[in-house]
Amino acid sequence: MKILVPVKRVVDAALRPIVSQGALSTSGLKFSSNPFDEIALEEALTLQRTLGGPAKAEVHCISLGPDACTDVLRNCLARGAQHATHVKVPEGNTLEPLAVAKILHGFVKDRGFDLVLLGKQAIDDDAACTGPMLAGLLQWPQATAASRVQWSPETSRLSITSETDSGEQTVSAPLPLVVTADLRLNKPKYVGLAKLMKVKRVPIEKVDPETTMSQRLEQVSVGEPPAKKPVTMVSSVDELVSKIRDLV
Amino acid sequence: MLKNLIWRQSPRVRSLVPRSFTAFYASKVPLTSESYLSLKRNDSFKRLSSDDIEYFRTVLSKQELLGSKEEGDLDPFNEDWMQKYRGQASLVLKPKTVEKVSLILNYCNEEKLAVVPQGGNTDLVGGSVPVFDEIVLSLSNLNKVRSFDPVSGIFKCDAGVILETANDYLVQRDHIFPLDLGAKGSCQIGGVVATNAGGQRLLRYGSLHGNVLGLEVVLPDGTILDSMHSLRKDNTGYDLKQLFIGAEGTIGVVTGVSILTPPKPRAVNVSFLAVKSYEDVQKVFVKAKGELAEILSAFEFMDAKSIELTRDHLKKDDITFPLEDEYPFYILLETSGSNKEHDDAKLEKFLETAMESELVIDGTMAQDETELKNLWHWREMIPESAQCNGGVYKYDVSLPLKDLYSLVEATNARLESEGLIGDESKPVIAAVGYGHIGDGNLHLNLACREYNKTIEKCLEPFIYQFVQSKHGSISAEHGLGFQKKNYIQYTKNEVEINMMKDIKKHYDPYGILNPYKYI
Repeated sequence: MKILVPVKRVVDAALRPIVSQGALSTSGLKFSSNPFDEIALEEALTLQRTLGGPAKAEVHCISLGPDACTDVLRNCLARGAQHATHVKVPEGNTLEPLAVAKILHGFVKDRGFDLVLLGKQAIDDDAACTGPMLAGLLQWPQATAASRVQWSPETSRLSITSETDSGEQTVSAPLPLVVTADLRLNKPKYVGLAKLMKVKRVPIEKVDPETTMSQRLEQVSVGEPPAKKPVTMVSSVDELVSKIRDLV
Repeated sequence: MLKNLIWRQSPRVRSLVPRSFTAFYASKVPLTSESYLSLKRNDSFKRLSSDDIEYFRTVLSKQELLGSKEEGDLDPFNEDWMQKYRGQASLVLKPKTVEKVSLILNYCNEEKLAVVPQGGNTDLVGGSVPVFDEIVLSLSNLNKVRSFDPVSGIFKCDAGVILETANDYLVQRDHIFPLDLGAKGSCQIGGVVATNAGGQRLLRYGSLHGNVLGLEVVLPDGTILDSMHSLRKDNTGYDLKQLFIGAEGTIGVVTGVSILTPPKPRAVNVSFLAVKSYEDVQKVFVKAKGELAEILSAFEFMDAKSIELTRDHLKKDDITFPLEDEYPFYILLETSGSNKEHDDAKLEKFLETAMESELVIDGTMAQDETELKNLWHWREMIPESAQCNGGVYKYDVSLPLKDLYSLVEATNARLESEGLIGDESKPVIAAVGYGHIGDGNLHLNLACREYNKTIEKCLEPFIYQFVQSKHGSISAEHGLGFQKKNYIQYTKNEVEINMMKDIKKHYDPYGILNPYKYI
């Protein structure tokens, strides 16, 4: 089996992006892998172990973006992926989800994969479109927002559970398939130093995007959430009650 | 962004849970006066009368005074964080201005009413809670940032500003507070200065004696000493502010602080490493000092037992342990610098050679900010993990590096031979060691199932004698407080102690400030 895991390089999830002059400023901010994609990779590696290791299932990571994406990909290799490909997109070029899906589509067709496992969304634009669009272009079935993934060797099908408002829903499908990962799917492990060191000088395959698309959406404005109102302390229960009364 | 949902988002690092959460339960902490029967109340102090309270009510507003159950729970002000000491204050004053602090102290000095200044009450030696019926003077309401100069990095604030609040304020202005410690979410700048707290950044930025540029202090008679300078160089006369840094509120109450803050590092890396012996901890430290040099910003060590306790304690939070196996010693190493590529290259080279020479046998490196915080979490949660099974005896000592860990071994051996340590039938769970290798500062913690006199007798003065024999200090960063008052002679000589007593007597002739403690 060949598994493709697309990983997006995003502003670190624990940092607060700065809005200046109506645009997001990322200068000086640290970039990391999209946490949802890290979860997808962890699941791909688990699946690989279930299937009998790299000889039976290969994990290939791909990232689209500026040169710094190689850091993200090297991290993927340290975590246990066998291959990594960097699709070069110049700094400052924003790819819309459809463009990403088209590039991934070309890559999947070209190299031949059985399963694409990716995060259900990226934490920067929250679009949550890439997975479904890719499934559409490939004309593959898709299971989104997976919180549990199970491989059945008897039927050669994957069953995917996702959380719904009122409980859980489980679907099953044969390969090829697109699966998008939710937060609760797993907890990625720390990467061991020895593995980090090992991949430090491994060359990363670089390719130019086959499809380029002009940007169709224009970012009009970016704003910060409204500031929270300061808390006022009340000195007695009576005062609290009267304040609540004023509110209702 | 889905920040709040992200799985590895650790619970807020706040090892010192605000005590008001537990205040709904009747206190189980024994009164200090009952645990230490030989200690007598100093009868030269007046007992608080209704006239006194009347006076304070004329000076202070409703929000600034707690004098009865109806006005608020006094337990959080009477009990220390370790739940080891409990005083009997019936009055808590929370003035909002320096002038009011002055009026209060002036009155207390005239009337000979004893006072305990209190910040975030995160003290670890019983220094911030009353012993008998002293009035609690809380600085919590003095909590404004006064000024910040982005050019010089000089930051001025009231004593009651919480450390984390100050740091957040500075981070937004591209600077950081030169001190960081586990209690950051509760402890206050004034308290930090009054106790000369150390913490994890000391290795890089030095102690408060170097960073504090000026103080505003109210003396016991109410005089306001305003020396809120912003000068890095000033050789005119005695450096008076130094007297109050680490004086634990015994000769004055710190109300304002002027401090030099460093620029925020642009690149921070954290590694969590495993080594096989204490010998190797030292070797890695020497290597780090040499090879990481100016970017090395923290070097903490933890023994296997301290991490084991933390793993047990954190089990409920379901936080992933950084390594796959267990090892005898762990190191948390942080670098901070201005250029990520430069730092990464240095650190990678260092780690690579450390692994090749088998000095470091396992480890990991934070790949993003969340992992970085979680790795620190493993170090910062040790105190709480040692405390949470009943109690903890804490010894914070300075020792020459080569002898540092031998104290933990000696203590374990002693507890073993006295039959005090082990399974549930024994009072002590484990004696663990961790701390700031970079500063020669060991935290020896005895996680116990209960506080009892037998444990205390077994440890004291044994530990202090051990420290003295190695020419260390019985208090590296926690201070003397109540716990170590009688042991100062293990570190300081007679001339030094007498000079301290003279100073105390001169500025606080009636001894009203933080009595029964320090010297």
